[in-house]
Amino acid sequence: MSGASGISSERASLGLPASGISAQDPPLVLSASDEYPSENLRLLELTEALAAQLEEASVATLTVRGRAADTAVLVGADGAAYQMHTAHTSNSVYVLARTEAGLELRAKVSQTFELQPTRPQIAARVAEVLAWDERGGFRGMAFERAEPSGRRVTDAELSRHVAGSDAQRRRVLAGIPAAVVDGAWRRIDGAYSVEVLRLAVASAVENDWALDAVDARLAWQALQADDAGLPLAVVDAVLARFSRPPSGGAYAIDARRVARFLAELIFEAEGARTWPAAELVRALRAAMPPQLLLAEGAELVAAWGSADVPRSAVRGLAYASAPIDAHLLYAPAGLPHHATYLTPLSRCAMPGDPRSRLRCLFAAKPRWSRDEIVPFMEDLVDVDPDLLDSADAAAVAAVAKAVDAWLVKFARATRAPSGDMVYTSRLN
Amino acid sequence: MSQIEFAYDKAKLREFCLIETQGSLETDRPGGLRGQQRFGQIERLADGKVQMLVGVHRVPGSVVQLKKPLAVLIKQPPAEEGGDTSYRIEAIIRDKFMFKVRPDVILQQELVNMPSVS
Repeated sequence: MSGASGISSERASLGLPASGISAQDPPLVLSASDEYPSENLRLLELTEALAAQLEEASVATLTVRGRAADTAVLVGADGAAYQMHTAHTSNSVYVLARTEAGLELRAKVSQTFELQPTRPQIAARVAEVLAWDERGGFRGMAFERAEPSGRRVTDAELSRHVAGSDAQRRRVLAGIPAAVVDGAWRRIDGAYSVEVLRLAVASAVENDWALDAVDARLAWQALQADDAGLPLAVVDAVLARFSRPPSGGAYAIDARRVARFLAELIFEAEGARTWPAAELVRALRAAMPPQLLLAEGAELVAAWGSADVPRSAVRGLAYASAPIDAHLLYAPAGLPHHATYLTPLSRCAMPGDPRSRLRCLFAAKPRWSRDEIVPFMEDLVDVDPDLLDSADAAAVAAVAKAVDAWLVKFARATRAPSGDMVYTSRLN
Repeated sequence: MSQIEFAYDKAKLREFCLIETQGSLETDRPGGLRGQQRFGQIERLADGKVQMLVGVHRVPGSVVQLKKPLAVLIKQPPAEEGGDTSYRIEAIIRDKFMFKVRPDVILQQELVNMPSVS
């Protein structure tokens, strides 16, 4: 028989009084409540982190969000998000409440809710909610004055209609980009964003500001001459979108982010047509603010080969192909520039689970090398995108590990004549 | 878009526990177990294990730590008609009474004292 203290701690962990029970204590008498079996009682499996958050707080709320067609997502007090799944119990599980007389049977449960950490793919939903404002994207003060009314999408409305944590929503909004204008969230029109950037960069050069330390307020003041009344929040959002993570309050304009954004706009404008790489490079060069240089060899090079595509400005936006023997595509150096064709394929438009994502990718192209497929899967891995962008070793390793595991599970590896491994689908 | 809140208030926590069995608790009385008083008991044995007595059945068991804590949720009536669903977290449970073997049948005292039929 355990010592009294051991029994007391065991009893306390059952949620029963710390006075504990022993062989000398009277038995716990079982009764059933008048409402048994209750239909209003559920069991939710918590992570240790969630349980600790609740137990440390006096009052807390966990929120579950989701539409009928979505998997429900639970958001904890720290903003972490969890997918909710139902797990059935094979044994009979009874829930009893402690009463003065003993234990009172309240419910018999056949399932519990389980939680799995997740990164909800909420970008499409955020865009959908922002589109409720019939005015469309923010395009400058002249347009706002001409079209003053529209449905206002407030922060509370976004929070209510988009699953995921506040931090996840803010990241998606920053990537659009979007800004709060007159108390409501507005998507900033893509072409207008580029125009604001172009004017900000021109002002920076004109005033001898370093492009890796642009002060948003100074840029905003300079832009008043072109668009009087332009909110600071818009300039802030645009500079943040095209900069490396800011330090010291100033923005370091990143030519690569600008090129990538322009590539998205170009693909969106031209539909799903295939691009000869040279033609895309010319289009990007024409669209880039002239003062910006791209880090690929200090300028936007005209020598992209197919092997360069995964590391280029169109990473995760397009894949390479060629109208010649397919096996040459997997040569270590890839195909030369003049033979590379780019087909737009945006990972943002694809499903958010690995199996469905791979099904989509193999439907678009039946054979992929590992280097080609990683950019289309990396957003499904729970790593900081900024770290990944900066080639942080730990982030890259985490992505590699996850993608390799998914390829083992859902793809078949074969060796191409070039010697490289290529993957085909083994999904039905 | 649906939104459900699970509200936790340390001051309002109650004491709950779980019993897990291979079989099920049943009665042939009309209305089932609902409202039944004193239909069984759980007691601690000298060796630290537990046993449950229900009617003529006795089943040995133990207290088992849960792999993950479980929150007991009770559905709350909506604040207004058509309002959001919400639950209150009544307790966080970390272990359970586990009875995973078949029960033994025991003779109750009143049956032992019945006259024999010759």
